[in-house]
Amino acid sequence: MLAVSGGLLIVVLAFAVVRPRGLPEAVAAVPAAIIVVATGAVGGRDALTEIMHLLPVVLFLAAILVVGDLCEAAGVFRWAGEQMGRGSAGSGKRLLLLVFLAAAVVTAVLSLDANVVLLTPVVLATARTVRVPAKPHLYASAHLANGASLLLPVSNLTNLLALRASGLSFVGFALLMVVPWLLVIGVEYAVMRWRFRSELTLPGRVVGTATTRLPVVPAVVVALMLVGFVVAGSLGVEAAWVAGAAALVLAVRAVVRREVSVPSLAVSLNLPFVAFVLGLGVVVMAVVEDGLGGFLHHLAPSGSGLGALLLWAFLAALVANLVNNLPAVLLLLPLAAVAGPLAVLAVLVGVNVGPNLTYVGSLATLLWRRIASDHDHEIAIGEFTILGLLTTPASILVAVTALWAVGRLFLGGV
Amino acid sequence: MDGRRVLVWVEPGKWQACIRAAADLVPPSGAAVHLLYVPDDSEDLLREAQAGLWGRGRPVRRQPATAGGTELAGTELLADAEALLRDLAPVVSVTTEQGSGPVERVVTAASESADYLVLGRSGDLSRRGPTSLGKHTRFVVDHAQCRVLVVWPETAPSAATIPPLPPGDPRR
Repeated sequence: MLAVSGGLLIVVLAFAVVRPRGLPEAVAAVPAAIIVVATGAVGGRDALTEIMHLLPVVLFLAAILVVGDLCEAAGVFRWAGEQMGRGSAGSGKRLLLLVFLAAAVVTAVLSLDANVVLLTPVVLATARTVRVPAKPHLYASAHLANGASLLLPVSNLTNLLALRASGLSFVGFALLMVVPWLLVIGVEYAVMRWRFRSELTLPGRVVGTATTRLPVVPAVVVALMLVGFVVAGSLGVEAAWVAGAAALVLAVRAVVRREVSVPSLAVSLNLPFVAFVLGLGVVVMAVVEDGLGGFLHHLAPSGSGLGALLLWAFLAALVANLVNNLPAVLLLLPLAAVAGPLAVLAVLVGVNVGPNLTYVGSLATLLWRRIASDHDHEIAIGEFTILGLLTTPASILVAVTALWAVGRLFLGGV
Repeated sequence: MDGRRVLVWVEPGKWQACIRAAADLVPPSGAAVHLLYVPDDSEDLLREAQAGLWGRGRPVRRQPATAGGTELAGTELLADAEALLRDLAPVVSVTTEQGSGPVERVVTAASESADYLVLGRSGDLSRRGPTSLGKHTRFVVDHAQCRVLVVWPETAPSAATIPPLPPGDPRR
């Protein structure tokens, strides 16, 4: 049976990487999920349980993507870009610092996706406006999308998937992750400063006064949303309700103000992706039950000492780099959950920080883009691979070590 | 006009030094100076980063913050470069161009119709040596058909950054 479910998983993942004709990933994942249930690889009841388990997580993701998009429509990212440009005063080094600040905050609060899709293009435009080489800032922002996604359960889809498996509260998660988060950002900053030391000394242009004011309502709504996550967590209410409420408030306001149309909101919601994650979850479940779980169980480190946590993290980084962090976390979570919350968080360090090694998220995506790209637009692979090699292993090492130390402090030597 | 054609590779952070050098190349009778700016491959890098998100890395629906930003930034940069050149060397005819494509090849191709090419160093600028040229600059220097003037964007590092003769060198 593993041959069937494993083959289906490969098809689902290959489809997601290649996306023939730009079709949504769900086009392969949903039928595959139906097949594994129909063939009895997964019981219908189990599949339903898994879907109900994943549903709040993916609905949360959908809501937070809408919040991010509406912040963009209201001008939050334009404002951030102007602040970075003005604050840099024509200095590449100061701009890098501001990009780090913005990327760390946006990633932690509005998720990795908001950083890559909404902030990083603004960073590029800002660097062009300030007339400094754009690459250091672009790499910084893109790297922090992964690296700075450790802090909150909401910062990365993988965190949301792992939160329940870890048994931690919203605040507990953040308390354990804040030091690893800061250290990863520190490693990234040190490497970027060193690697781009010449580009960062080139003089830029001092840009004039900013014309955009901070859109107050979206900023307040996002701040309230954060408070809401903490409160909801302590009351046992799903965070998806909080994010959904924030999305609703911003959506009504934006539609009334004609900043967005209702159809474009539906695009923001990205329901095909929601369907994809649910389908992928069921297929991965089948593969795990058909024997891959047993195989991975042999690979899984035992104990929860520093060595075991490091093994978890590097194993997770390896799997994430082969395909993508989403299937990696779905595969490894059931095993890590048995080993305790620190093992779950170590897996998160691996799947979140690890993808910086290949920049595009995984070897599979990288290879496909090399195959598919026309040669006029072929990206030099060396530059970002070197940068990934410089930052990623070191980041994982310091983050996991810090996680282990903080864990001993809070959880008492588990 | 003595027909001298000067091509200047205009880049952020380096254009001022290049324009000053180009102004020195303009004889009193004037010259035709062509200012070329080619955006780097950052847009491609951005797309690569978004590819890692799979279906979530969809193109942004609205891009008021960035729409045309790159082209506008290039236009403004070229305009400022032209203004500085006209300040420093009054009798010149200036043309500007925003190129597209692999930057090192676009610049090399443009050098076919120039007598002089002025460009800035782009690698490790903290010491003198081959690494101060950078990959794309090196390509242009190696492949341009015209005379090439290579400029330090800011003050050149001191001669002390040149490594000494190795101990075994017989000329030591």
